[in-house]
Parts: sequence; structure tokens; C-alpha cells
Amino acid sequence: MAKDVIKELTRLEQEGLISAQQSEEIREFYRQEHLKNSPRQRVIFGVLGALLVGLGIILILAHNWDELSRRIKTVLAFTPLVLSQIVGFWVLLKRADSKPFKETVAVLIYLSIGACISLVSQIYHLQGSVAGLLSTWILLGFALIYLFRSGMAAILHLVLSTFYAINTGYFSGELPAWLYWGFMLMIVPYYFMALDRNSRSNTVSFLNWLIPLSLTVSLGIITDRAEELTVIAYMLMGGIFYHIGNSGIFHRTVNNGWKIIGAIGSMGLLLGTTFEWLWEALERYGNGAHDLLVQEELFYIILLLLIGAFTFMKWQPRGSEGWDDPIGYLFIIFTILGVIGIFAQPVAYIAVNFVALGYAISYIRRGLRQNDLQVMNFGLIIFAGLVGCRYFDWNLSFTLRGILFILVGTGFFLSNWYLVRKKKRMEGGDL
Amino acid sequence: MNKQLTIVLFAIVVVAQLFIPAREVWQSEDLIDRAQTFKFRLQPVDPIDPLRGRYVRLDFADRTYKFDEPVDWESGIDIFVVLKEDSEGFAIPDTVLLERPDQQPFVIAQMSRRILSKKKITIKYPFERFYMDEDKAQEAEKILGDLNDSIQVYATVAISSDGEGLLKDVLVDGTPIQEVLE
Repeated sequence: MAKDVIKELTRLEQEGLISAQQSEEIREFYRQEHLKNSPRQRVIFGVLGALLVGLGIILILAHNWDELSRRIKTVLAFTPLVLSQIVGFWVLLKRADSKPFKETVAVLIYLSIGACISLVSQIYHLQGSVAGLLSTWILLGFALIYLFRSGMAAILHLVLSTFYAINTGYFSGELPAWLYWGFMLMIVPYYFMALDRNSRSNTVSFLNWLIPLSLTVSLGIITDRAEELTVIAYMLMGGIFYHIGNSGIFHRTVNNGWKIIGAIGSMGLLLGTTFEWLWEALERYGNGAHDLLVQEELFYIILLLLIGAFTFMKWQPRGSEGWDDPIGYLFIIFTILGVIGIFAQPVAYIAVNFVALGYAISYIRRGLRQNDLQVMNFGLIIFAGLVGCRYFDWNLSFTLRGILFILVGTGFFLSNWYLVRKKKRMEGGDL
Repeated sequence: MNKQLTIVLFAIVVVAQLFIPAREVWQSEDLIDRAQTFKFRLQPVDPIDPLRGRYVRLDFADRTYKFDEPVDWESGIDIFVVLKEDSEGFAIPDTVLLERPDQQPFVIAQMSRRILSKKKITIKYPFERFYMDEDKAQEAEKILGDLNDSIQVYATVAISSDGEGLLKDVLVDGTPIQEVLE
């Protein structure tokens, strides 16, 4: 892009559109831009190099070393850690302003900690669990995020924490799964600091996706005995993500993982719950299958409701603008349906289907009104999804199902065609 | 954050990062130095631990214990296994208790999930994983699988006076398994 502009400058100058001075100023602007950007490349290569070297050290040390004595193995296990820590001191003393140095050394130390503790376990045949290893690693490493202001360390922290949640929450990890929430809280200040410093940086863009992804993967660990309640918790979390995404901090849709994961997650879940299973389970709870009030899941649902209420008050647009983009309301509607479902299963089950239909229509309508293909197709996808879901559990004849699908397909085609034509006509009119 | 404070904090973090693994080393070395070593008869198999390369999961031949009276203990709880040596010099459970025993030697283990009956339980010893090089672990499993009864395979375990156990080696007829594989 910059190169193209610079190439064009001479021509523009010759045509008399810009003066020689302006041309030189533009060149200077891009030169400065280029200088500003080059640390980013050095960060990337530095971090990549550190990652590869770190992984290489782990691989070399972990294998083919049975011949060495126990003492030598132990010394070797500590060597990368000590060396990277020494470099760490040097960076803090001499290169405290250099982002590439700080990122690189933080990653090196972070990986060396993992190498050291897992090698010591191997050398002495210690029997600790994976969860124990991960939590020690996380606790010893997390300070690097702050001391080196390292985004990569934050990303490593997130990845390890998610592993921890999976290991303890979904498999028989030997430590409590809820520690995951503590690990996540540890990076919150860093995330705020990074957003505050430069909300357009690569690190922030990564975190905008990785944090909600990690939470999505891990929320299931709250499941205790009333697993269907976890579905409601996920819906609440989807709403919260969506509100955070709407907070106006995020500049581009691509960087706004909160909003995209929130929207797709909420709508996907809504379609998933248009089947009877959830509502039948809720009815069982209503009939006393489990004592709802003592379920662990309920605690998390209440907590999420409180957070949801806060994000809703803060970031949900009010009035007609709010109804134009109604995902922000979904978690409230869904919670109400959940309560209704406990007492009157058929009502909630039918209502949720109409809610899904309502969302589909609302987005299709808005898309048509605002000439927005993306929004209209989002609505159409919800509609098609709803029809697809009902295909499985309504006892319709094959002919009828076929006709239904042809109608939906035609609808897709016609509405897109209509909108494209309308847009073209308007653009033509503008000229 | 000012520079000096950062460096002081980093120094503290560095100490912690070194201290935690160093403590493991020191405790293990101490245990090996002070403890009495026992031999446990084996039958091996081989799973993978995703983070730590390969190891041989040791299956101890004498890991069941039969009570005279039925007991109702939950799986996973800590148990105290008082050990004795049989006529061939291998460690076998003498009694199993819920309280710390006065007699020596004993090892702190767990009730395995495999409870055989009200009277018969399986002991989960805290030294089941023997870490080896990836290829060797596979070979080890194969060799150990093909062995016949005339060969003795056993693990040597250091057991401290507080009932802690640390796996030292796996031997095939008295030779360390690493050497057997070479």
C-alpha cells in the first residue's frame, strides 16, 4: 500500500495535483511509519526464535540422555532457566525500552521454567499430576507478564490456564478446576493496561480472541450434576461477550473476538435449544429430580447474571437502536424462558422457537432496510438453521420438508438478489 | 513501574522460579540418602503423559491386600501400608491402616479405584511412573512383556521413615533396565 502511494507521488507531482513539498512530506510520513513498524517485525522474529530455541532445548534435553548421571541431568535441567534469567536481568538493566528484547526473554524464561520443573520430575521419577505441573508453571511464570510487559507471556499464560481447565474440569485432574478462574483474573490487569496503551496492537488483537475463546472452552468446568444448567450459563456468557464487544473499545470487527464469538455462540446455542432436550430436563428439575437450589451451577448462573446485568446497563444501546441489534437482549429472554421452563415446559419450548424465528426476521428486516447484505444473510442463516433443526424432529412428510427447503433456498436467493439490485440502483442514483 | 523496583521484583521472582524446582531436587536427594531401599515385584504397561514424554507405568505384582474383616473405605483416600519382606526379599504389604502406624517401615499410598471386594482392596503406590527415553520406553514394554517366570523384574524404591516413597530404578534379574536395553 505505502509503496504504491510513493510510486504514484511522482506522477501526481508531474500532473500538478500536489506540490514538490507535499510530495516530500508524504514520503517522510511513510519513512517514519516504516521505522515505527519495524520493531514489530523484530518482536515477531525474536519471539519466534525464542520459541523455537526453547522447544528445541526441551526436546534435546528430554530425550536421549539416559546415559548421563543424575547430578549432571539436574544441572542441565536448570541451565536454560538460569541462563535466560541472567539475560532477563541484562535486558531489564540495559534494554528496558526494547520491546523485542523484553518479549523474547520473557518467552525464553517462561518456557525454561516448564522445561526445568518437568525435567526434575523425570529425573527423580516424581509422580505429580499434569494439573500440578501446569499450576506450578503458571504461578512461577505469570509475573513475567508484568515485569517484562510481555504479551507473549500473557498468551502462554492463557494457553496453559486453558489446558489446566481442560485437564481438571473435563478429565480427572487431581486439583480443583476453579483455580482456572484465578489464573484468568491474573491477566485482567495486563489486558486493561494493554488496551489502554494501544488498543490496536497485535497483542491486544490476539487477546481479544484468545480470552473469550479460553472462557468458552472452559466454562463447561462448572458442570457438576445439573449439566443442563450449564447451557443457560453459556447463554449468559455469550450475552456478556457481546456487550463487551459493543463497548466501543475495539476498532475493527476482525479484532473483536468478543463480539463475534458472543454473536455466533448465542445464536448457535439458541438454535441448539429449540430442540426439546433442554426443556424436558428443566421440567425434570421442576418436578424435583434434583434440588435446584443446591446445585453448584446455580451459583455460577447467578454470578453471570450479575455480570450480565452490569454489562447490559453499561453497553447495550437503548431504544430502537437496541432493537436493531437484539442479541444483547437474548440472555435476559433466555433466562426468563429457563425459569418458565421449570414450571411449564411446553410453553418455554414453543416460545424459544418463536424467539429464534423473531431474531431471524429481525435481522433480515434490518438488513433489507439498511441495505446491509451481511446483516440480512446473518438473519437468513438463523432462519435456515431453525428450519434445519426442525427438519430433524417434526414429523413432516418428505415432500413437505423438500418444499420447505426449496422455499428457504429461494428466499435466500431472492432477497440477496433484491438487495444487490437495490444497492446498485442507489449507487447509480448517487452518481 | 520504575526500573529499580522492577529489578528487585524480578530478583524475587527468579528466586522463586529456582527455589521451587530446587526444593524438589533437594528433597529427593535427601530421601535417597536417608531412606531404606525396598524391592517391589513388577508387571509393566506403557501409557503416554502428554507433557512429559514417555514413561513406563509400573504395575506391582503385590498390590492387593486382603482384610480379615470387611472394610468400607472410599477410593482415593490415603492409606498407610506397613511393609514386610517375603522369603525372596521382596516387599509385600503386611497390614493396611487408615492411621499412621508406629511400626516401621510403612509407605503412604492411596486406595485405588479398583476395589475388588469388601475384604480385598488394590493399593495405588505413589511411585508408579518410571520415566524413560521415548523409544526405550516402548522397547522396555516389549521386553518386559515377553519375559517368563524364571526372570525376576522388580523396582527399587527408597522409603523414608515418614512413609514417603521415591522410585530409584527398575531391574531385570539384578541389572538396571537401561543397561538391559543397550
